[in-house]
Amino acid sequence: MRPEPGGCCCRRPLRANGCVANGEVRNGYVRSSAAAAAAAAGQVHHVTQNGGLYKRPFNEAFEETPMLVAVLTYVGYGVLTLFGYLRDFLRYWRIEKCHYATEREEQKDFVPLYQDFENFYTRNLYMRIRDNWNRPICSVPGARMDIMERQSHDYNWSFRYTGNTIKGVINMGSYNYLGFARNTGSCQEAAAKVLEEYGVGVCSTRQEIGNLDKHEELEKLVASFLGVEAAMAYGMGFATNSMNIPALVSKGCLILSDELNHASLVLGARLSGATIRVFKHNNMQSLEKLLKDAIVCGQPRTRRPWKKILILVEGIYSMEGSIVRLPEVIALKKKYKAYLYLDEAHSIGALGPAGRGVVDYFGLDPEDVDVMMGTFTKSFGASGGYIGGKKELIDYLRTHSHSAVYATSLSPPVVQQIITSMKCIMGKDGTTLGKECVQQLAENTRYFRRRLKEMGFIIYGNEDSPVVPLMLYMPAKIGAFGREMLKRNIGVVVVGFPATPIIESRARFCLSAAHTKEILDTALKEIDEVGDLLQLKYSRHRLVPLLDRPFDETTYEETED
Amino acid sequence: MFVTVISQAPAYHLILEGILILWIIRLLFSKTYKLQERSDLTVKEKEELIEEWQPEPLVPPISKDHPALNYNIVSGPPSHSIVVNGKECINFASFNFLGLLDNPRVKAAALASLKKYGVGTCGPRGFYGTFDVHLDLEDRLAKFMKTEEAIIYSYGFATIASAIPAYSKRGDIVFVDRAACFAIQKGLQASRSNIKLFEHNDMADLERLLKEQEIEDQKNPRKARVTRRFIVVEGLYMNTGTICPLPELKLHFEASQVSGLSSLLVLRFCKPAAGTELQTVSCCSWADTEVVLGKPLLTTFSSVLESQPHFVCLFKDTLFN
Repeated sequence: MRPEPGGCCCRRPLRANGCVANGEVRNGYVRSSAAAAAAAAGQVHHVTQNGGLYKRPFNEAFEETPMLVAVLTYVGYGVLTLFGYLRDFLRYWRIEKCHYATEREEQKDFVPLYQDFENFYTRNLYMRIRDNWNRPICSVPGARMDIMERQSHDYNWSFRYTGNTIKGVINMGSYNYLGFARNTGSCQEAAAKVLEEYGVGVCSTRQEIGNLDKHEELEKLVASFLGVEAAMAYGMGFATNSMNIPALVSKGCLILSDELNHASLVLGARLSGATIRVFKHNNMQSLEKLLKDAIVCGQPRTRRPWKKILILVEGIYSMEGSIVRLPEVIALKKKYKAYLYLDEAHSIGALGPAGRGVVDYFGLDPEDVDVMMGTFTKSFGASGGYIGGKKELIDYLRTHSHSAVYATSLSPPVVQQIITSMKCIMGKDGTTLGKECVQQLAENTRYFRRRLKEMGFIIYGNEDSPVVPLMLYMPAKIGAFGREMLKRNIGVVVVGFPATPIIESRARFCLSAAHTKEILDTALKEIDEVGDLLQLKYSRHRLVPLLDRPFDETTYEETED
Repeated sequence: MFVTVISQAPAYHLILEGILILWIIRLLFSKTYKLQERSDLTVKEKEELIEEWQPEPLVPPISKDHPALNYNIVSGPPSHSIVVNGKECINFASFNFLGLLDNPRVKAAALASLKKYGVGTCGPRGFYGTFDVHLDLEDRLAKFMKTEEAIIYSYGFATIASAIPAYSKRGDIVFVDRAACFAIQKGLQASRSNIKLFEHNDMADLERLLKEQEIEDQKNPRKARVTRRFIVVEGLYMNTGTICPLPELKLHFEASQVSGLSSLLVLRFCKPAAGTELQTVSCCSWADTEVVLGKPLLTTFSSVLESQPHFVCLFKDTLFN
């Protein structure tokens, strides 16, 4: 795979500890003056590091924020905060109309439900650009969608629907990686048949009367898809994490969780009652140090040995676009006898030559991962989550999981949609549609990322991940980018604080196998135009931070919950 | 001159200074000691520890005769009669109170939206996952429950378990019935508030707890002014099948207003059809309950929504928070 200008790793001599040296090391980053020249000519060399764990090049880059941009971003937030205080002052003295929620008259002497300052950000910053989120659509969320037009006459405090729809908006926001969000075709027909036969819902939990034969069929299929012994399906992806992690670990166990893990994993870890320690994002030295310290020192204060250690990682991190370094994690897990919980919410179906997820992408053995979790929402166009693993694990979850006992099971048409789409990806329905979709997605990803980098935007994440974050940084540009793109008939997702660090707001594109080359070209043309208009082309094609830089004491911190 | 100063100073002063000087000299020359025994292990010892450590198995083994291990397999639609493990039975087990699971109108509407929207939404509400049908359902729910606005969630368990921590935070007080369902318990655990349990459907016990809390408040009025209080009850209890005595609860609500208790928020978990019953039985208006959570009467309005959507109805425009 060729790196483009501004790409990641170049030909450099290796040091003994497996990291590269190029003479100058400043602030932990390696200055690569020869980078551009070497990169253009040469090939990528992560392969030989770490004893050949990686069978293919692993290219991940997080370009450093330019100094001027960072300063201007902070200034921007400062100005907005000042205006926020001014506005609050005006609202308090009734000079400006107060739109937000207030207590009813009878409850004026009650303790207010919301502390004023907690919602400062919501009231004064989020409200002003609120029209970029919660945009209602009225068609299938495929490659193109129809957005309902809405207007606001009071600066986004309330919306009015004009009744028009903006038709044919290019959809760069929905999680439709393999293009199964369709309202025609074999998936939809099969789901319609099951709807007629079984009805719309189940109205009961798995352990009571809610276990249909369709659920059993689905679980066998998921197990064969992943290459594990058994699997279990749940009604909601978020709830899969938050209800099953407490069943696996409890007080006296240790959870090592990545810095940027999803809220569902964090909630599940908190609800379990185990000790949580956080390691730096995708940083294997940080993880190794935590593992060593944990085993050597034991539990805090009592020094008893830990009962279990569980490592929580995700396949693709949806805000960064980075892929977990799975070969290294598995090597560490085997060395230190920890258990691995892999959340493949975004990567299942989207990565790997056969679409089987991040394990397939690295060419590893699924048996090495103790708990494989994923969701059906993204690549299969349905809803729900699953957990796959050894038979003992699934038997235990069938009896002890909160979801199996208290929560309703999946609805039959949804189950059928998953079964049909999974068979299609595996090729079991007799067509090559699945394989084509997987290949199309991979091509789209490579093409899109390469073109954006060539244009000069700062793009985070791994070369192969279909989640593409484009950095915006400044708060005003968040709103401007979203609105300008909608004017040009492209729907994008913009994210700011608190989903991302305060100065690193971004626009996130989710590529799909349903996007044809023409659609991507149109989108790229418009992004280019808007990038010039808003001056978003920050990349200077230099300073590539290596994620496996020489490890030293000050580069990580340990937090305990 | 120095000597005259010393001779003029009082005796106790000189003695005290002398003792202090001797103490300082002693401290300077004594060995320093560490507060904790720092065991600096050698690399070899650390490796040995790592070798020796054996974790417990990820999950304990489950015996083959565990009662919950093998589920009953249902084939065919779960309506008033149901086919379980090949046998046809009368269905007394599903929560299908109004029997709308196999209603032809519901199925036709679901089929129509399946043809229009496909099955999944492919995104959260914030990122192009809001459909016009979601907004329509929320409007209708708000009208049905006679509240200002409503919001729907895609999973019942998650509705309650996330709505409670959204309002009640660490330091707040929640009075909850002892027979509250598991979802409420998990929500309370996630909220990290102080939980006070009162006996199931026992209003006298609740009153006792409220009075105790009042006494506490008077001891520390500053803290009381910023602590929110909530009462959590279910309309129809999943664990016991009884209905909560809403009119009596309302009396307590008003009484506590008089006695100066600050902030009450009542969360109600209504089962389908029980909602309408409660309205007639209790004869009190919904206007006094601020937050109402419930299961809708229809199981799924369209296939776009997931298996068991649930909703929260609010009186104020507090939804965006």
